[in-house]
Amino acid sequence: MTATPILQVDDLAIAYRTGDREQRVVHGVSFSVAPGEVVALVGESGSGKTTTAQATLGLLAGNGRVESGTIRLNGTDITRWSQKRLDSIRGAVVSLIPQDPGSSLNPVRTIGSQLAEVLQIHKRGDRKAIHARVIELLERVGLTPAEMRARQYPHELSGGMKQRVLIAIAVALKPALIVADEPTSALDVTVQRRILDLIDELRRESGTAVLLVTHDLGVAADRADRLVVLQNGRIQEQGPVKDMLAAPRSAYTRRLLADAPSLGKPRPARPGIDSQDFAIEVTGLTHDFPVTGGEAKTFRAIDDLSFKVRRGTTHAIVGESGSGKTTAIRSVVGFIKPTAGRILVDGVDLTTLKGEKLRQFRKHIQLVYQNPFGSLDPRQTIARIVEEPLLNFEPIPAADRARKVRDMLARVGLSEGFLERHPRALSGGQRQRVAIARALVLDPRVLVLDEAVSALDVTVQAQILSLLDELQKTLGLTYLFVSHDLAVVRQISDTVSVMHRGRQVDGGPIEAVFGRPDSAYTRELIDAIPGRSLPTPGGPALAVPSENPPRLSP
Amino acid sequence: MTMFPIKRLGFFTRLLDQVDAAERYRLATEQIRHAEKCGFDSAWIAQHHFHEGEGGLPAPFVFLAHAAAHTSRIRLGTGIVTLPLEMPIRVAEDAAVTDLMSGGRLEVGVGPGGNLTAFTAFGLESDQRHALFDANLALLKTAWSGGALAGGDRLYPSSPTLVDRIWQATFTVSGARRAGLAGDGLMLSRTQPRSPEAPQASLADIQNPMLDAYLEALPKGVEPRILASRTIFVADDVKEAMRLAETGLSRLRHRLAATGNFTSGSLVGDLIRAMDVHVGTPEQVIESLQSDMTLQRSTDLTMQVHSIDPPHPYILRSIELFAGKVAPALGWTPEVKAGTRQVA
Repeated sequence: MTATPILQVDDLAIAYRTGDREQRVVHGVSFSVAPGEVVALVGESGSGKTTTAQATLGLLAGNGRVESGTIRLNGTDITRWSQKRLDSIRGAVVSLIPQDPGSSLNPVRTIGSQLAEVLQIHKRGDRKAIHARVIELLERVGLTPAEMRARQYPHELSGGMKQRVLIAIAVALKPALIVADEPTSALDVTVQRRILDLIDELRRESGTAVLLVTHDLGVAADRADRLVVLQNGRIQEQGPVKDMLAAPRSAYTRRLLADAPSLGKPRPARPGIDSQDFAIEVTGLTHDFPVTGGEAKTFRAIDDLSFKVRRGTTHAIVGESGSGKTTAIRSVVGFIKPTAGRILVDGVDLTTLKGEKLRQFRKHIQLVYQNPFGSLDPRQTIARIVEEPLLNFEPIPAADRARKVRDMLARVGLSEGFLERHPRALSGGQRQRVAIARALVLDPRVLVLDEAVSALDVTVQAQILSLLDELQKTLGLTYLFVSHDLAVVRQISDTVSVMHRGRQVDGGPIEAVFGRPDSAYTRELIDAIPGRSLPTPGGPALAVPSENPPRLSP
Repeated sequence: MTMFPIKRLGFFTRLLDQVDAAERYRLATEQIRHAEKCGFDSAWIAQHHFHEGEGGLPAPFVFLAHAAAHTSRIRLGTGIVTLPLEMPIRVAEDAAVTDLMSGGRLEVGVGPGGNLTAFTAFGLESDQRHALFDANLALLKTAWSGGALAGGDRLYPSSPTLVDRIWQATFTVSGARRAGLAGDGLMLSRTQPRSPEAPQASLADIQNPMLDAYLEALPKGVEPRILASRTIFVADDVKEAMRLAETGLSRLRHRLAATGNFTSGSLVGDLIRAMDVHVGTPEQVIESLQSDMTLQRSTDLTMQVHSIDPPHPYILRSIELFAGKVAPALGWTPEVKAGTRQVA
């Protein structure tokens, strides 16, 4: 292609100021985006991908500054334009689909008025023409009936629908370039697929170029023409997707590819497990919540869920938002009492326990949460965080406690140097190690992992998954693993329950469920997993029948 | 670019002018008439029992009926009725009558507040305030919607639309969630105490999680109503504004020190920050309010001069400057009704 690139970034360096120090976070980055092309900026947290993307829109945070280099839009150098001047092109020439649909819309203004605003600012017609265009845009992004949607407020829409509104805003003025900053990271996998399809369609219709910022190599591989891989603010490698996936040149790209969870890497079958020794047996679990506002109505969050988990194995509960998976594990750990059903943990019926007995029983079954930033008390030292469950449950001498805490930290791969630190001084992966150590300090038999690796970068995620695997082998732990990420689930689970709207729609050994799903829903989930284009070094990719298998004629 | 979504402008008073009770009611009425003339959408009065330094008005509906007779357009609200201390059916009756006499202009803010000693005087337990509040609010809604009360009687006059004009005041995330679940409006306080863990937290740091909980709980089909009350005093001259602020805030500082709530230094600047006060010329107040992130997600903004409490003429001038110069910078435009064009 010889046309002028829509976006041309040359030798860009960006620094952030904290206090009176400036720290450079983007170092001499150069890349371009041709008209109609999709280029993905790929990298982990701290790679500088979002900072680079923000700079192309002139949206750096207040303490950020372009130190050197140029950003050209359609050949025009906009690097040092004022915000006022940038306002004239933002939306019209280059627009943004932001990361978090939850906080990017104003909750107290209607969808229609927020969509109309961008048209009004750029003076695209009178009130009547703008209203007509708003309705047309809402219809185009699949928000129907559009007249009704225009009058709704953000809280009345799901996450996927809010992202559709933001897409409508981004394409309203038919820009030449859309910067999509992790546009689907907060969404369920089937919604993610529909949203990415929509962006693809709109791009093809109007020839818009897309700069896609993502941490998910699978998404990038499936959707982009070219990849730009960033690490610590430097480009490690860039080129056409096909070439890079087939023959990555940099060690970092190779590691990213190896760590990316994909459908190609099932866990090896586990030998020699006694098939009748169950650590968890759930039978007919049902949970109703009262619906407020109405009259004596209830909402059935879980409907007749049953599964068994063999000792020393991993069972996954998979489902999207609202599927009932969180309610299910809250029942299993005894936080809430189910409406009906039986939960046996080590042969003890949890639903019959009360008070002190229930409290004592809880130490056998421990929970690790998703968010390594929110689940540790910021005021406590690491030693204190890991020690605390011992103080609550087991009155043992201080010297023994201290030894136990050190042992646990060593087991999760943290040196003694971490004992006196606070959570804020730790990375996300280190915090999740602390959370695991805290859960293990009471020698539980069952660990419930609630989206425990979902917030982590892929390389860190791979490390934590391998730590969990090692702990399971040495300590004989049973895991109940809750996740929305099917690729991760397939990598580490022996058995799985797929939940949809409170019901188990598929269940059994992982290979059976993934290879021959009973339900259309599970098939849709599997189809929606990004990363189909990724190579599968672990062996042949799993054949997923997306249509009905051919029948043999009689 | 930040667009503020303020739809309605309110004037709020605790009737604290430094005069006797009769004069307090006369001045407050005049302030509300002035607010109406300046284009304000609503006026709100607080209910306080016994302590004249806390507030000047124990009987909100009596006063609002009077204010209604002296105004024609402005909406009139309670901010708030201390519901645990009330007989809910009497509140329902007073509100229904006031609403009819004002031409449907009533807004009803309620909350579990109330002075602790007042509970004793009313023969109630202050630690029951939340249970009392919940029960009384439920009864209030039943009465207004024309539902059968114990014994089978129904409210006369019934007033089913008042149910959609309830606002709940709260200091907590769980309280905000309850307001959302009920589909009521949310009233946010002008200032809130900081926790010992985060003494430097901004008011938005505390109130944004409340907004999140409210919006998350709000049922479909319900328009969000979020009213942020703020201490705002606008003056023509910055020196005069600061002098009056110092006088007023210092009054409060001594009282706070006596109750052990005093954490700030003695400088007026510290007090302004500690008590979330927006004071100064219109330009200064605009800048100060624009940095309050809560207001980017509020539908209603009400100004109150407490705890500066300047003399009456300054309050009138502050009302003018707020509607004329400050509020338009926050996205507010005066409602222009057909046939009511004002001639300046």
